[in-house]
Amino acid sequence: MKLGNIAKVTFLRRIRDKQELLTSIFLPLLLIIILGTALQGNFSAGQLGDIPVAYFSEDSGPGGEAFEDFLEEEEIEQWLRIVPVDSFDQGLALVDQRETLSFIYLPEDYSESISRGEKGTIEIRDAGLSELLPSIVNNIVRSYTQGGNLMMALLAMEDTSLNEMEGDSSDSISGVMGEGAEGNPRDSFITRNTLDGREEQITGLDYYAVTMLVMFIMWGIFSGAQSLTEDLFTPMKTRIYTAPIGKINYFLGKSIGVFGTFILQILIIIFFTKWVYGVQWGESLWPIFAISVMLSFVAISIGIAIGLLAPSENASATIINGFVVISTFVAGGFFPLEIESTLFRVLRNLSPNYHAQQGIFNVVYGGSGGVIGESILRLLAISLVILVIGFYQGRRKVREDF
Amino acid sequence: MTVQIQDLVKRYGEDLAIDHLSLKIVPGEIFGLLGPNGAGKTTLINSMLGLTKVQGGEIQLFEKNLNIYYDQIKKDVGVVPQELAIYEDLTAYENVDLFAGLYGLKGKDKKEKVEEALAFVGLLERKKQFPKKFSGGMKRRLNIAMAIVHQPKLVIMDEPTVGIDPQSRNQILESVRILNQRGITIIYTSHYMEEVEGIASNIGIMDKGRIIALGTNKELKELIDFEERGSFTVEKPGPELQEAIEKIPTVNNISLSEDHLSVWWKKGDSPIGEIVKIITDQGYTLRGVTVKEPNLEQVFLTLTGKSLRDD
Repeated sequence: MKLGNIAKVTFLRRIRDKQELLTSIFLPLLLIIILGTALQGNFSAGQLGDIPVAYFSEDSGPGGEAFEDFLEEEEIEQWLRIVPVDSFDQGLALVDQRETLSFIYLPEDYSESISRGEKGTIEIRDAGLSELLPSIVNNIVRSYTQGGNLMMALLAMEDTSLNEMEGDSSDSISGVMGEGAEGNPRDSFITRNTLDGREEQITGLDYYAVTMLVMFIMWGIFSGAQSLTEDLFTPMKTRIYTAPIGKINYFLGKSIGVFGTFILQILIIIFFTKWVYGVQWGESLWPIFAISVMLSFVAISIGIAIGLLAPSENASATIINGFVVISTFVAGGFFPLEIESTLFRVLRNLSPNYHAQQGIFNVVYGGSGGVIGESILRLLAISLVILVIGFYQGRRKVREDF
Repeated sequence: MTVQIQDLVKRYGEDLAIDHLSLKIVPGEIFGLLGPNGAGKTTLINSMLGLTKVQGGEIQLFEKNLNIYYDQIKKDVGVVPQELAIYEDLTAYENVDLFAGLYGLKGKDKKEKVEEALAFVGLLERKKQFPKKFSGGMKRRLNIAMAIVHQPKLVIMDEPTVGIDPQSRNQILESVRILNQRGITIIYTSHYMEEVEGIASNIGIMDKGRIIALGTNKELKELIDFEERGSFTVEKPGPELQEAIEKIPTVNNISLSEDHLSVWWKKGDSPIGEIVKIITDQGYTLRGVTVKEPNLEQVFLTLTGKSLRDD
């Protein structure tokens, strides 16, 4: 298969390139450990804490009370600054006005639902200012709802004592019955499930493992673009164009080869940081792979587009350098950013890094599946738009080349 | 006919790069294409390869219209670009193997043809080496192997011997002859006139987008009235000798140096006898005489008014 020949050769050439290997694999691993260690202070409760969160509860039952007690826990207060409001609309208004980052709402039937053994839902709205801080809020609430729902359901079963659950193999129940089983059962699960535990607390390493993975996939545009379009700038162009392989097949083969090296890079970074640095990548790696693969697709699309549109290799390198740095910066890739400006939000929404980071943080810190899917779809949309523009302009360039 | 071009026109904006050019190349010949820089050689080759759109005329390769049967025609053409078109980070084998694959060769057949091509250019023993370790000549040979691995019917070689040592050049020229003996038609462009004179069975001289002369080496030399040059070895020839020789009616030009006297005359009107008499009459000792035949360089210079290597 002609396409396979191109893909194989592209892959081989990229993995033989020592500088490429250094840049795409060793450098991110080094930066993750350096930034993650040096900037660890940015990820303590002291630095990230005091997240303003509006709170309104319409539930007067034990579930609501328990949740309020939970929010008043000292460990939670390190992270969240709860702003009680008098109505649902007022909570939304505070979020809209950027006075609080999130709004937590307990519906009237929360206690009743969980006492019936049904799923109790706590609603969270956020302003979409960043992916990191809402993830923390989500994570804190999730830690309560997972344990709380179960607890209340258990309490609703009159003849069930907590001690009887001690031998259960379920993760949630063993979490509930963890270190505080002798005392107040609610205290025990709160303690076990707050961000205080190493398993749940975000560290600098966790943060930079995500942002550096994303940034270096994007840096792959540079070498990817070079790999994809290098023949257009060399005498190889004549040889390739006169060979019986269509231009689409040729670029597809090149893209598959580049894509293969991206996958290798992603796997090495994720598994190395997981096993050697102890980075949290969440319970399932598949969604992270999916997002990373989509981002690779975006990077390749941008690489093709810039390679085809740029007048020279130097111009292409300059455009890519600028693009990746800005895209990483606005996404908070170098350090977490909370800037409330329309321009900034527009720029950030245009940044592929942002959508990928948002998706991955949601996977790792238990955000909604909707956000993850949305991130993937946005990345797909970005890459398709770029590919269409790139190929349209590229065809004109190829025609004018000789 | 391997190549048949009829009334080809190619413009770049207002500039006419190919000016109503017609050309025929028969199967099995080595066609030498000569022309000064900017004559339109590369444009003509690119047109034959379907790399550039032309504004008029028709190109047929292997009796098929290039525009209609482009994909089919591509499979029977091999290209040796002027600049090296090889991947330095692939081994010699991998480089050739890639193009064997692109031309549809597979499995055992592919392996055999790749090794055959490498052996043909003398690189089989170095098949596992990377070209970055190769000499200029070896890279040029690899450049050729990549173009012939699929055993094309027509090979277009654009200055394949640029910048290499004489030994490698001879090797390449020999391989061109062998390819031709195998029945492959070759279009060969070069700045080295003597190469084209030595290997081409037919030569076209291009200038300003047109073929201004076409024929065998001999036919081209007969196209114009040539001068011949005689070189007389005489110790310290003086001005009186020059004056006397200049008076001979068939002598066109004369120049003196420390121990040489160069005289130009119209072909067929040799004044050698008269010159020898004048030299001896004036008491000089004549140590030798050589007469230089006209070469292709002179044909080229006369027809185009430019030297082939004036860049």
